Amino acid sequence: MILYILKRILLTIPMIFFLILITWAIAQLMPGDPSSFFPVTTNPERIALFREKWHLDDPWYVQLKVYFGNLLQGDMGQSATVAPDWPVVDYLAIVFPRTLEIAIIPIIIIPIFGIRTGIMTVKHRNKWQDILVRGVAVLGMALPSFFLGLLLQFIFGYYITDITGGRFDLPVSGFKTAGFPDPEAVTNFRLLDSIIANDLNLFLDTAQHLVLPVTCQIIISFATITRQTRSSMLDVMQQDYIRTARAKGCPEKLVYDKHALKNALIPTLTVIIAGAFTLLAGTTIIEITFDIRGLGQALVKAIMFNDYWLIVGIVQVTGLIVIVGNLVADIVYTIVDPRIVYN
Amino acid sequence: MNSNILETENNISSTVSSPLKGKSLSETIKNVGRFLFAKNYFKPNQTSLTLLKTPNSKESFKHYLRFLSHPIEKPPQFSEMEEKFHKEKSKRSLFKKMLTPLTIFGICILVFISFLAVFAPWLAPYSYVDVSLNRHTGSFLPPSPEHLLGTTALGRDILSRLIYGSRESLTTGLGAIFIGYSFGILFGIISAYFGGWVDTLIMRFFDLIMSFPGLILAMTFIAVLGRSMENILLAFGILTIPWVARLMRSSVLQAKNNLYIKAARTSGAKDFKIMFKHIFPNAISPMIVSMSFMMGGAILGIASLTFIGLGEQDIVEWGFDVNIGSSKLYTAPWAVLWPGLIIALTTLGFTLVGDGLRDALDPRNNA
Repeated sequence: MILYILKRILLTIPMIFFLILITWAIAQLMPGDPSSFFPVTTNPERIALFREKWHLDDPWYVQLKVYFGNLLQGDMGQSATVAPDWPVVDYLAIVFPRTLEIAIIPIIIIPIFGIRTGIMTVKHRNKWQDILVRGVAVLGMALPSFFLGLLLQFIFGYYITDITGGRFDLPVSGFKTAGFPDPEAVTNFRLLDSIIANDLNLFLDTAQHLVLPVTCQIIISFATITRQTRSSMLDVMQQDYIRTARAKGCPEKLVYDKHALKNALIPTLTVIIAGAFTLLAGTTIIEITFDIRGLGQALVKAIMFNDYWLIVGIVQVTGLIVIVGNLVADIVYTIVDPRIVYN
Repeated sequence: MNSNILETENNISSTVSSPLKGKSLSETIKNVGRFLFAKNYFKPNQTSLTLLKTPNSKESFKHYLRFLSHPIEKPPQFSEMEEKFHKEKSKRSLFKKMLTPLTIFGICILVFISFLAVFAPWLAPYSYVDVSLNRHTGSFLPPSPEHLLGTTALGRDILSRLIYGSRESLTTGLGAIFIGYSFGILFGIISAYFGGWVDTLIMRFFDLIMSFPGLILAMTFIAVLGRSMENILLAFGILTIPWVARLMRSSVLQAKNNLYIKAARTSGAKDFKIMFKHIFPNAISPMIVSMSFMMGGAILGIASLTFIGLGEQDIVEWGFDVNIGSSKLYTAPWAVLWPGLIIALTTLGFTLVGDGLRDALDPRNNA
């Protein structure tokens, strides 16, 4: 098994190479070359320097070589329009923690919550609990995340503030109250930085801003895991060993939690891990709805304002997340289900 | 011939009417034999068989209708004919199983949305030109008799925009599904039929696409191709291909091992003919179920992209309306509420119908 895990880790290296190659090739399909994405007012000397740096007048294989050479030195190019003259790496280092902050809490909460409710629906099959949870899950699948986000914003920013006379006032957009200072950037995570800076107000302010996006994220993503748990639990509950467990006098709670859940969890695990990593890479809509300057919003801005290297950089980071996600899923599979034989 | 039949009928009726008591042993055995070979027993009674005949004559449709209208309970003597009607019966039970309240609700939603799309010019209080061009009547007007659901930022009637927007959503969704299904089915069949390195190449590439978050990939497509509605359609069509191909592949792998495929190959059919004349019709049915889900997903994704602002500015589309309305969320909530609700309603309809179809076709629920 350890040999397999090592092999699997080594296999990611060509995959990452392939990913970079593909993103580079897709970027070549964009109309114009990287230098044509600068605003019209840019100094021509700067563009000439840029062309020289990326060897844009040379054939494509020279360009690719130069690109790889720069990438290995940690240079993913410079942003042209979104954050002029910023290195893309630095920009991503500021932007990515924002996304991670709103993604990490749902990633932890959703599996726990989703599996528990999934088991509950099976326990009370076709009763009102089952119907309620299934209804909420279908709604979570059908509601557009931006609409849910706007609804939450309206309810918490308008009605609840109104009813409580302004005493309960949850911030509905942005990641900080206007006028609040930024903590000293150590890790770029606002929550961690405010702990390091020992500033309670800053910490509470940041945490309050995270409440609504996280709630929205949980409602949207909760559906998939609950439905998967429910269907695989229903499969398992018809097996013979469940009847045996009941016949030998096992308490009903243990039948569900020990005998059924362990076997039902294997297909659910794929959904959980894949869901966690897609959530990490795909919070775009929620970031835009709640105006959080994360990875997704940066991508949208980059597309809007034609920022060549930023688009390439963000897609590469997303791809990296996906590859790591697949790696983790495969490794967890070998640990959870030893029956799988690998050659 | 006719007289012969009449004779046997008389014989049988006499045996049925009189009990076996008081007859010789040989006669009793004969009568029991007649009872065992029930086919002879029923042959003369043509009127009872018209219902059971396989519909292959001109009247086949009438027969079928009669069968559908017939109650499900069956007399015991028909049990040996049961296999003949397995197909019709399974169709009927599928129809019955699908009719759960939730599925009916979903079908109603879809019919309602399609109705809006088809009869838009008659239903909408304002014409398409009025709601797509800039006719300024006052931005974000509250609901009033002139504008039943209020107006948008540019003073366009929201109700009319909802009704005309159903055309854009449904056609874009259908277009994406059409592209995705036609290419997905093609790749699925090729991949499963040839196997080997072709299969590995196609499926590994599709795995790569599938592991990416769909929206990010669609946005990358838009970045490469340019911002327009056609490109959004194309992006979602391309994103649908891998899912369809994987589904089709597993379906074809099952159909491939049937005996008639071997027969076709033995009689000298070409690969192309086997793929599209023999395998394709037998592997297509699982795709229809997934179509409903895919359509809902495509409509949701297209609305998301237009909400972000990657669509066109001068089209009538629900997601774009939500985007415009969200700037004045607190003063004019109606400009966000109705377009958002109708997107949710459409997706809900497709999800419910997909759920109902899947549950009805799931062999686990047959017991």
